[in-house]
Amino acid sequence: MKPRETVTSSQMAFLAIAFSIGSSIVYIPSPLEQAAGNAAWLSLAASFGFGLLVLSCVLYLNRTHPGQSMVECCRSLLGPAPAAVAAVFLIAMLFFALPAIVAGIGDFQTSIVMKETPDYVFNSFSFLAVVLTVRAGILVMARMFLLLVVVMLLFSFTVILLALPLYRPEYLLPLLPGGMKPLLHGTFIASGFPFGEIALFTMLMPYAANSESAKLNRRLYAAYSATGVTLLLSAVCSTMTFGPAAGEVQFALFRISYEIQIGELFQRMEAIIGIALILGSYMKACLFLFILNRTAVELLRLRDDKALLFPLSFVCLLLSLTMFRNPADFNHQVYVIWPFIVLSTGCTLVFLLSALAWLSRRTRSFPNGRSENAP
Amino acid sequence: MNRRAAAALLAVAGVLSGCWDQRELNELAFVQAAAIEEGEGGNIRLTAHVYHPGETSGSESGGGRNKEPINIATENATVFGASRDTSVELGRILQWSHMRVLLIGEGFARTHDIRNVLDFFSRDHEPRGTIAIMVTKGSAGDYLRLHPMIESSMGRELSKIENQTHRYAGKSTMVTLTGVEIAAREAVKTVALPYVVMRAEKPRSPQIGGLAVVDFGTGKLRQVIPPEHAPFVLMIKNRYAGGILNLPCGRNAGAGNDSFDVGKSRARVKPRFVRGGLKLDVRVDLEGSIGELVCSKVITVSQTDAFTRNVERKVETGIQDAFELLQRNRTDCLDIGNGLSRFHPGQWKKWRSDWPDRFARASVSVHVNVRLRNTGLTAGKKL
Amino acid sequence: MTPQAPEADRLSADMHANRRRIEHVFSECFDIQIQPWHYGPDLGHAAVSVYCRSIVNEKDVHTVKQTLQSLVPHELGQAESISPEQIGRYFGQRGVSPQPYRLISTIGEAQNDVLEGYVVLIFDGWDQAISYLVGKFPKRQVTEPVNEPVVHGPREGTIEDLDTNLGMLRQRLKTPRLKMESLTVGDNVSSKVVYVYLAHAVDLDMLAEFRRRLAGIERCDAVSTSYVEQWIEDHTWTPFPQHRYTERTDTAAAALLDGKILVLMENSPTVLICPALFVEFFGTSEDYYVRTSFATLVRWLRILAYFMAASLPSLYIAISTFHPELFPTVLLLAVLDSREGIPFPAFFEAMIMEISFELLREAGIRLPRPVGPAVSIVGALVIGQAAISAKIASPIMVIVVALTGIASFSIPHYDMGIALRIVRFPLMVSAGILGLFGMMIAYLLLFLHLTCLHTLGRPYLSGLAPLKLRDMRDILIRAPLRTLMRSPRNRRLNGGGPAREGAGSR
Repeated sequence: MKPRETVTSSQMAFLAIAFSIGSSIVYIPSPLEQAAGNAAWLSLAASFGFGLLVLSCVLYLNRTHPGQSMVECCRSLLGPAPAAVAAVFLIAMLFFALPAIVAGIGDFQTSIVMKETPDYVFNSFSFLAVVLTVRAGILVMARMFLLLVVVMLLFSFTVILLALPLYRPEYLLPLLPGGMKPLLHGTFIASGFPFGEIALFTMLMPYAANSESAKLNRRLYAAYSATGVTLLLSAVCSTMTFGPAAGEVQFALFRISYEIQIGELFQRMEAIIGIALILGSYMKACLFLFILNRTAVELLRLRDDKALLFPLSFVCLLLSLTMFRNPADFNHQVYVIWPFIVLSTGCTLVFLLSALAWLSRRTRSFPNGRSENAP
Repeated sequence: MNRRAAAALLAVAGVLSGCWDQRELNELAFVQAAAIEEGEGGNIRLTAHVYHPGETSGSESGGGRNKEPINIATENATVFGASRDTSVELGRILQWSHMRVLLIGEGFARTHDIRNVLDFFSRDHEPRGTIAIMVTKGSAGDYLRLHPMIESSMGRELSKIENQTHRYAGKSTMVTLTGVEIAAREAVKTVALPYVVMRAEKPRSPQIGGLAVVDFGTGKLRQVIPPEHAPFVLMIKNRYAGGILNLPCGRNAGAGNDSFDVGKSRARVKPRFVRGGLKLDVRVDLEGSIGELVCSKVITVSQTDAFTRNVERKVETGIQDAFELLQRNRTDCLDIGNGLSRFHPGQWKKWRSDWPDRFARASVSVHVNVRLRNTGLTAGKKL
Repeated sequence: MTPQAPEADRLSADMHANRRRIEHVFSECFDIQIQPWHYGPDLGHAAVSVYCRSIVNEKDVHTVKQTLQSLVPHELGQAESISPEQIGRYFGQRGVSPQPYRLISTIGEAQNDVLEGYVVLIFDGWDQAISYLVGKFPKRQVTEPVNEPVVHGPREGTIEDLDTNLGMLRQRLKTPRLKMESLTVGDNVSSKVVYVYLAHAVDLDMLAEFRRRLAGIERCDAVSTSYVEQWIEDHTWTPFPQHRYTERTDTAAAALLDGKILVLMENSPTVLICPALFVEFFGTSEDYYVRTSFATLVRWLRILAYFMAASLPSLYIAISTFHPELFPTVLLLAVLDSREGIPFPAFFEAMIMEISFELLREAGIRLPRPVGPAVSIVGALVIGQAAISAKIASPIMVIVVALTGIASFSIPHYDMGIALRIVRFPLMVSAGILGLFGMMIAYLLLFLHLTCLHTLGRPYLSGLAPLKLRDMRDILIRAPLRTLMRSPRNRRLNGGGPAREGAGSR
C-alpha cells in the first residue's frame, strides 16, 4: 500500500525532532544522573554519536529503497516470512513504548501538579487527543508539529536561559566520579532512550517526498543534532543547578523552572515548561501510534488504513494503566529493559538491513566478480 | 457508531468526570511560614502561620485588612501527619506553595536529625525549593507569634529580614531548601544556616544573629557562629554580598569608628599539600566605598593606602579568628573539603575519612586586598 | 437570453393580446403601470408602456416621446409621420437613440425587464418591444462603513446597489484584467450575483474550484452574499469563518490584488472575499496606512488580544481552582481577599459573568436607538458594581470578564470575534474539569481542528501550518512596504505586468 501523502523535507526534519526529543525532555537527564552521576552529559554525548550512526543507516536504507518502509525493506531483502516476524517484533516494541509515553504524561501530572486525579483521566484524554490527531493523517500532523516543535523548543530554551543565575559550573566537576563504568551505563541507557529510537523512523521515511533526498538527508541530520544539543544542554544545566543532588531530582527541567526567581516578575514559571513537556510527549505518542498503525496495516495488508486506529489506541490505553505497578517498576522497565530492546531489536534490525542492502548492491554491481567497467 | 453519537458520549464522559483536584480558593489555607520544634512525647510540633483572608468588597476597603494571620500548632510523629491534623482543625486544607520560611528550633536541631522533617518539604510538590530555612534560638513557634512590623505576615517579614541582612549587613546567607538538598549530598555535608534571635527589648522582633552550622551527615546542629564572626565566615565562602566594616579609631571605646562599605567581595582558597598536611592560602579581594569618616583622612594617596591597609588588617584578623573558631570545633562549613573533592579528587580520596582532623590541623595564611572606589559625596575628610 | 424562445412566449404583433398577457402575469400588482399611448395620424396608432412605479422614477418616463423623436427629431404633437413599420424597421435594426434600449421578443423578457426597472414599450403592429432603462432607484449614500472604521484611510463603503459597488471597484483597479462575471440566482429573487477577480493574480485552480462550487446556486433564493458563502464553504459546522466580509472598497481592492475572488450581490452591501486564511483575520487595511513600527506593535497587540479573548476566563478558572501555586504571592492574597464570601465556585462565577456579558452585548445590538444608552448604563451597573456588592462575583472576576470583552472587541473581523466567543466556552469547561492540562488538551484539539480545515481547497492555517517564514513578514510583523512590494506574497502579480497600487493588504 503506497503512501499517498508526501511530507516536505523540512516538515520531515521537524517530525524527527518531535520524534526524538518527545518525551525524553521530561525525563532526561534524571535516569542518567542516577546511573552516571556528573558524567551524565558525557554519556549523553556518547549515545548521541551512536544515534547518528543509526540515523545514517536509516538514511542509507531510504536511499537504496526509496519510498519503502522498514517492513517493505525486510520483505525485499529478507523475504516475506522474516519480514512478518520483524513486523511482529516492531508491533510488540510499540505496544510497550506508546503506553509508556502516555503513562509518563499521567505520571508527570499526578506527581507534580494534580495529585489526586486518577491516572485514567490523564491517560484517556491524552489518548483521545492522540488518536484524533493520527486519524487526521500524516500531512496534518506534519503541519501541526512544526509549530508545536517551535513552541516546545522556545519554551525549553527560555527556561534554560532564565535559569542562568542559578548555574554553578563547579558542580560539573569531578568529571568522572566513578570511573568509566557509570559512564558506559549511562551511555547504554541513553542509546536506548531516546537516541536509539530513531531506528523506528524508517517506518516514516516513505512519506518523504522522493524528489528532495539530498536536502532531506541534510535536514534530518540537522534536526537530530538539534535534538542532541537540546538534550545535552538540559543535562549540563541540570548538573550545574543541582550538583550532586541531580540524581535525586525527578523531571530536571521542571525543577529548574521551579527555582527561577528573577525579581518579582519571573517566578513560578513551571507552567511554561509543563506545557513544553506535555507537547513533546503528545507529539511522540502521535508518531508512535502512526507507526504502529502503519506496521499493523502492512503486516495484515489491510486496505483501510484508519480502521485499526481506535482499537489500537484503546488497547494501549488499557496497557498504560496496567503495565506499571509502581514507580520502581516503571524505572526498571523503561531504563533497563527498554534500552536493551531498542538496541537488540530496532537498531539491530536497521543495521542488518543496511548491511544487507549494501551487500546486495555490491553483488549487483559485480555479478561475476568483475567490475562493470571491465571490457 | 456514527460520529454524532460518539461526540455526544465523549462530551458526557468529559462532564461526568469528577473533579478530584479541584479546590476553590476558599477551601484552602495558605501557609506563609512554618516552624518545627520538639513536642511532647518525642512528637514533632508543627506551627503553621496561615493567611487570614479579609473580606473586602469593592469600594469599601478604606480601613484595610485588619485580620491577623493565624498560628496553629499541632503535634504528630511526622510532619505530614501534623499538617493533616492542622487541616482538620482549621477546616481548610493547607496549601504550602506560598510558604516563604521554615523555622527550626535550636533545641530540636541539636537533638534530632532535621533531615527527617525536611524530607516532607522537599518531596511534596507544593513547597517550593526556594523556601528559606532558618534555625531559631529558643522555641521556633514564638517567632511566628510576633507581630510583623511592616509586612502582612511573619513569613514575608522573616524572608525580607534574611534578604536584607544578607545583602546589606553581610551577616547572613540565604539558604533555600534546594540548597540544603544539594549540600546534603556534597562531599562535606555541613551547611551554615541563618540563626534567628529575638530582640531583648520591645518591640520584640526577630533579627539574624549569626550562623547555625548543621552537619547533614547526622542532621544535627553542631555549633552557632556568633554574629561578629559571621561576616568573615561568609567572606571565606565567597558568599559575602555586602556589608559594613567598622574600623575603631583608637583603643578606647569612645574614640569613634570609621566605616567602610563593602560593595564587592571575592575570595579564593587555594589548598597546598605540604608533607602530609594541608596549607590554605586565603586570598580576599574587597572593593568598596567610605561609609563614615570620623578620625581618618583619605585625601592623599598615602592616606588612602593607610586606610585600606587598616581595613585589610581588620579583615585578616577577622578571618584568622573565624578559622580558629571553626578549626577548634572541627567544622568545615567553608566548602573547602568540597573544593578539594572537585578540583583535587585524588587527594580528596586519601583524606576523606579523617577530614575534620585534617581541617583542624590545617595552617592558614590570609592575604586581603582592599580597593577604595569612592569617598561618597564629600571628599576624604570628616564633616 | 434563450436561443429559441417557445412560441407561446413570444410577443405577438397584436398589442392588445400582448397587453392582456402582461396584465395576466402582473395581476394583483398594483404598482405595475400599464400606460396606453396613441400617436400617428389621428392618434390612430397605439402603444403601451409597462413599468413598475415603485422602482422607476416617474419623471423619467418620457420614453415614448423619445422613441418617436428618434425617428423625427423635431416633430411635435401627434407624430403624424410615424408608423409602426417605421418604428419596427428603425429600432429592429438598432437605430440610434438618445437612451440605450434593448430589443425584446418574449413575454418572459418583458416581465424580467419590468421587474428590473426598465420601461417596456410595446407597439401595436410590431412583434418586438423596446425596453429602456430609466433612472435609478435611490439607494443609500456612500458613507463610511459602520462596522469597519479606521483612523487613516478612505471612508468609502459599499452600498446595496450593485452597479455602484462595481463602479467603485473599477475605479480602484483600472485594468482590463479585472474580470467580472455575473449569474442570476433565484427563481423568486432573480438577483444578480457577480464574482470579480484579477485575471493574472488569481490562482486558476482555485477559480475553477470556486466555479464548481457555485454550480446549482441558480436555484437558490439567495437574499444576501452570506447565502453564497454558506453555499460554497468547505466546512459548515465549524465556528471559524472560511471567507471574509468587508464593506470597505480599499480592502476589497487589496484582496483582489492578493488573488482573492470577490462576490457581490444585488441588494447586499457586504462583499464576500474568498478564500480567507486564518492569518488574514489579524490584519486590517489600516495596517498598511500607518508606519511600520506602529503596525507591527498593533499586530502583536491583536495576537495578544486574540489569546486573551479566548482563554483569559479559562486561565483564571484553571489557576484559581487547580493551580493556586502559579499566582504570585501578593496577587494571590489580593485574590483571596476578594473571593472570600462568594457563594459560587470559580467556574460558575465565571460562567454567570460571561453569560451576562454576552446577553448585554447581544442586547446592545438589537436595541432600538432610544433605549440604547439606558441599557448600557444598566448593564454596567448590573454587571459591575451590583454583582460585586451583592457578592455574586468577585472584583477579580469582573476585571477578567471586562478584559476579555475588550480584547474580543479589538479583533477587527466580526466573524472571527464570534468564533472566539463560541470557542471560549468549551475552553472554560475544559479548564473547569482538568485545569491547565484540560486546557492544553482542548487547545490541542482546537489546533487539530483548525489544521484540518480547508477553504476553497487550501489549508486554512496556511502560513502558520505549514509554516512559511516568508509569510511571517506579514503575519507576525508588518514588514516595510518596500519589502512587501518587492516580492509580494502573490507572485503571480509581478509576472503579469507592472503592479499598480496597493500592497498585499487583505
